Formats: sequence, structure tokens, C-alpha cells
Amino acid sequence: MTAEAVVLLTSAAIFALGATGVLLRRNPVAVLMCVELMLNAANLLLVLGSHVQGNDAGQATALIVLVIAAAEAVVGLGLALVLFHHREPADIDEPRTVRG
Amino acid sequence: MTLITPPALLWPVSAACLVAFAAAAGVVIERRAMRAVVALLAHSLAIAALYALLAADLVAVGQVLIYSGAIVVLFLFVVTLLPAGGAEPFSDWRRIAAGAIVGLVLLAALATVISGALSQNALAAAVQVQTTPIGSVAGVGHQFFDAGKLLVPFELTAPLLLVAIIGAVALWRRQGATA
Repeated sequence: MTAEAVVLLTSAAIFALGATGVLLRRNPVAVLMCVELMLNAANLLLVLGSHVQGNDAGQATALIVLVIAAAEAVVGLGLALVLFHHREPADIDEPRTVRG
Repeated sequence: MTLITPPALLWPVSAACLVAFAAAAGVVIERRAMRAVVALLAHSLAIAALYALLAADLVAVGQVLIYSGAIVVLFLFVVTLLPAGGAEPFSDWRRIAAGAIVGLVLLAALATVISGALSQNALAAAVQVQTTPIGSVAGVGHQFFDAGKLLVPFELTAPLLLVAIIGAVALWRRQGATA
């Protein structure tokens, strides 16, 4: 088994693990962390593709995904804090409406 | 055709993969939010090590600075702000079953695709002979600016970050008004 195959399988496993966590967890902060896991798995695949193809485009895309992950974390954590403020313990299934 | 990664790197890559996977499992399983954040930090650093091993030096530095340094620390701050450390209600068996089923189906689907690709040796066929080393700052910057394909996404990250900041401040202001 080559190193590339190991990375490929790890990326798939981490993505599946993150998807499981999104469904499994009820704490909004934990759900966000599981989304971050999925983003990391996708990024790993981009970097691996860049490595295999000998092309920098995958790495540039990975940097953009990094920025998207940062923006997602900021807004998601803001929402999670609001959720925790309204009820404790926070359950991501509880809110039924958004007002804005 | 042989793959680019030298065989000597198989063990470091496998070790980093193992740490990344184990830490990811910790993030998913650990009910205490603080420990989950620490597991996410370990996962992020292991991924950065993998990037470095895959000759993506710039992305590895970005991962450590932006991901471990900024995002995970932001999570850490939010967890310390949470009342009762972010206690979580127990997931009932239906939720656990749903999560496990979706995860296993997804893993099976991905594993099928990957094993098909590996058996046909498509990965080895995709390997291009490298003329110039990849992963340099100039090379990645060339993809953003000179090649032109990624210029629009790159420019769009600026309004994306601005909107995220405005959104976070708006949420906080409304929170302050109702409290």
C-alpha cells in the first residue's frame, strides 16, 4: 500500500466520521467541530490531488477552503452562543424558528 | 510508474493519518466540549503534518496558523464562555443509530469508489512527472493571480470574511439588546 492510498482512505474515513458526528451530537459547538472535520477531510483530498498531479491548483483551493472554514466557524459559533444563552443545555434540535 | 512519495515516507504518513483519525474520533465521541476541542487541535496539527509530508508547505503553515492558531482557539474561547462548560443532553439510541447508519453507508460508498480506483491503479496513472517542485509560495500565488482561474474565488473570500464579521457583530448586538 502506498502512502497516497493511506491518505486517501484516511480522508474518506474522517469525512464519514464527521458526517456521523453531525447527526450524532446535540451540542451546537460539537456539531460545528464535526463540520470542521469534514472540511479538513476535503482539504486533505485537495492537497493529495495537488501532490499526485504535480499541480499547485489544489493547494490554492485548499487555502480558499481554509478561509471558508474560518468564516463558517465565526458565524456558527455566534449562533451557538445565542442558542446557549436562551436555553441550557442547548439542543440543536430545539429551535424551530429564526427571526431576523 | 512509481508514485511520487518515497517509500521511506510511508510510515510517517501512516502515523500522521492514524493520529488524525484517532483525534477525529475523539472529537465525535467525547461529550465534554473542552476535551473535544483539544482533540480537534490534535487533529488539526496531524493534518498539518500530513500537508508537510505531501510537499504542501504553504498549506501546512496556513493550517497551523489559521486552523490551529485561530479557529481552534476560537472554539476554545467559546467553550470557556459556555455556561456549565457546554453540557450536552444524552443522545438517544435512535439518534445514535441514525448517525451510525449514515456514517457506515457513507464510508462504504467512499471505500467502494476508492478501492475501485486503487485496483485499477488509477492513482498511479494520474501521477504526473514533476518538472518543478510544487507547494512553493510563488507557485501557489501563480495559481491565484497569474493563472487567473482562481482569481475570482480569491477575491470573493474578502467579502465572505467581511460578511462573517458583520454577521457575528450583528448577532452579538442583538444578544446584548435582549439580555
